Amino acid sequence: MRRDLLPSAIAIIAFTVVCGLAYPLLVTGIGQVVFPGRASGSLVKRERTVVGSKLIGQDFRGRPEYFQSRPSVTGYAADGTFFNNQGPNQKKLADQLKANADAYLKQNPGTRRQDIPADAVTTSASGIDPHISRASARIQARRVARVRRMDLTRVDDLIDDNTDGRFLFFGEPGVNVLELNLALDKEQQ
Amino acid sequence: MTVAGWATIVAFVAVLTATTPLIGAYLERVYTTEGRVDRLAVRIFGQAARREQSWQSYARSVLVFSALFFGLLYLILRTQTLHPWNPTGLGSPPWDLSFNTAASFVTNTNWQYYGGETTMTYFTQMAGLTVQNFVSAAVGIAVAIAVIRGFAAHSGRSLGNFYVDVTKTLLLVLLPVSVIGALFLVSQGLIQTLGDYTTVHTLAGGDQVIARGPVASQEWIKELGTNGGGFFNVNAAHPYENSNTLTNFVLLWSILAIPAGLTLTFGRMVGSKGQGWAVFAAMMTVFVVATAIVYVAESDPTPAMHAAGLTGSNMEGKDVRFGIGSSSLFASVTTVASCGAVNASMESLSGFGGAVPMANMMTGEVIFGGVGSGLYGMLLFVLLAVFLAGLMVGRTPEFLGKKIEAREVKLVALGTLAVPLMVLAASALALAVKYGSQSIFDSGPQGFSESIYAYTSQANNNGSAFAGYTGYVQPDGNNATAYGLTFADLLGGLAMLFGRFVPLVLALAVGGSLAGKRVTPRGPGTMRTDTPTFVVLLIGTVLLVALLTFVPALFLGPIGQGLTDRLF
Amino acid sequence: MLAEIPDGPGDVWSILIAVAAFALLFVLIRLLERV
Repeated sequence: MRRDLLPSAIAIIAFTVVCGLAYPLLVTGIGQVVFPGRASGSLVKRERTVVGSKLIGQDFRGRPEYFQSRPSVTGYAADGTFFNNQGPNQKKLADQLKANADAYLKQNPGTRRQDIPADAVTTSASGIDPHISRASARIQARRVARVRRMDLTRVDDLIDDNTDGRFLFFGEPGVNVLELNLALDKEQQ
Repeated sequence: MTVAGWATIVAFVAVLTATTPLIGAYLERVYTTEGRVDRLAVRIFGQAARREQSWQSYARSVLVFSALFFGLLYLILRTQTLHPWNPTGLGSPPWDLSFNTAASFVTNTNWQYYGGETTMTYFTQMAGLTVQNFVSAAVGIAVAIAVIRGFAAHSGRSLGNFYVDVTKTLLLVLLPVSVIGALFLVSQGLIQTLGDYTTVHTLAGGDQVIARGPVASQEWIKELGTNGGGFFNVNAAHPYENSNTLTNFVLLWSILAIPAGLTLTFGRMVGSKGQGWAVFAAMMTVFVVATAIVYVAESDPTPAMHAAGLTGSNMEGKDVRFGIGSSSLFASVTTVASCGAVNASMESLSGFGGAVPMANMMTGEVIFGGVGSGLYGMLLFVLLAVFLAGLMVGRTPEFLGKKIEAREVKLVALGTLAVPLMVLAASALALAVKYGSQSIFDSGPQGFSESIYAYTSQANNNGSAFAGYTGYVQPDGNNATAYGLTFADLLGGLAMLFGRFVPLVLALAVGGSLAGKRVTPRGPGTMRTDTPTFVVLLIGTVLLVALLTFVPALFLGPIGQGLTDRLF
Repeated sequence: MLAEIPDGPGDVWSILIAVAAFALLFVLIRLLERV
């Protein structure tokens, strides 16, 4: 055991410097130079204000003229993420889902309960999911078009323009709520 | 379920199968040729890097090395107030959480009772945790190579040199791949900055503080080294850790890339690629079945959804860009390997959907498993399977021409039963004692599942969780007013240390035992171990040990919930 | 808080438990030689 003390001590210093400082600093350096926007968080500006990140969802509750994001157990806090952690048989979850569904139906009248898309009433894993499903967007489009007095077909077009596609057939496409809402505002300027 | 979802799984299997022989061959070359890195190791470590080590010597090197790293990481954690790159001015986490975290990262588990963005400085993440991601992976791979040398050896008892093996693993495998991988991730939107958290002014009129950090560099090695510890609390569900459907697929591939490749490295080093493919086939078969079950289970609404009158698939605790297919795939990949990263909430999975990750871990993380540890763990099961077959047909069991005798069988028995025993003991203790129930979050069988999952995960060095189960409470989202749940932190830490180092030492002992054995050439009576029959035998042996031990627990928890619509 | 050099009973526990755990692993190596 004694024969290992010195070489191990050297190893822990050497490996910490190489893997824990040189490597991440190198990646940061190259990343910031070659992909500066992405490396800094894909922030989005409107005029001169930073209004969010392309990758991070936001809360739009209370503003019916905007497309609404998915329910989030953290209220779209991006500096302290956590899961809902309600198991599939939890009564608490059933109550949450019922309440979310009631709210969704109230906001988007004319929908049947059994047609509500699953993502519209369930919480996301990250709590800052930037996307909603296309189905949910189509349902919300009616309300948004009415509140903004826009053509429904134009709103649908904007949905398509602001959908993040999937790579080949992996995963699912998602409508980027922030980008869509920014596009809507721009349209009506 | 969609065609696209199934196609993704098929594509994943195809890509992994295609890269396995390439990675296997490369790794074999790294460890069987002498080059500049060998000389570099001697220059840095001196005489220690020149020794031909016996299994005992190799094991001792691993332990001293790991113990010192435990101490260093613990020190880093407890001195956070001194760190540079601490944008939110975090203090140091308490001793019990630090114990659990240090044990966790040194053992390749990466169990996190904490959330990164509210607990760790950038300095800790880089110089503490990322370092362990590299080093614990390197230790796992080095030990696997040493064990393989024991199986392959025709003369002598040497298993190689620990310091050379670890240095080679870092400089020729993990680091170069990680630089490229991390930059790829940045190109896809993963954040990589030392800048402060940023505040944005949302469209709805509020402010949103966005936590940032040097994430991409950590993310890549986190998956490649089957570590699993996220920069942020929600792990790979966070868009800054896993931004789109392509990063998700690539990260998933990287989790199994080396564990799968090592099967062929093993085959090559023992002179039989077919033997390597047989082990690969056993692993792949179980993995595909597990993945399919999760996907099917998650495609239906849960009892809670039923009660709310909802149809559709279980999108609770999942992000839209991953959907059901890629979330199910991730849940399966991360638990057959000892990775433990998540892109969806494990606790929110359906009854059967949650039972599979649990069962995956209960097999001992040998279905691909952790980098290195999966392979040497599986080799113990191979010997067990050979032994059982020998009992059944009344022949002396032998593997690769070497007789499997009483000593080997005793070591194998210890090696395959130690961790299941630890899982049962720790879970039982945590459930029986009031200090253990303090950690439970959900009511009913789900709470039971949380406890079982926690100790299954920690003892098997996985690191994923039913995350309601707590060990650290942060009332204000920082470390100043936070406190650890000491019982959970200590019991978990000990389970992780036991689960990592006991099988590791036993595997080295087996390797050492086999190294000295004579090889008898294959005869007409030798049982073949590279045939489909053997693959079935091997799968059966793994499942038998896991199921017999854990079926009651699975039924009391997740499977029970899956069979009923009752709410708790 | 100035410099938080580890102090207090908690850190002593951590060190003791960790040392004990690793020591037992060394003992395991010795025991396995006799198996």
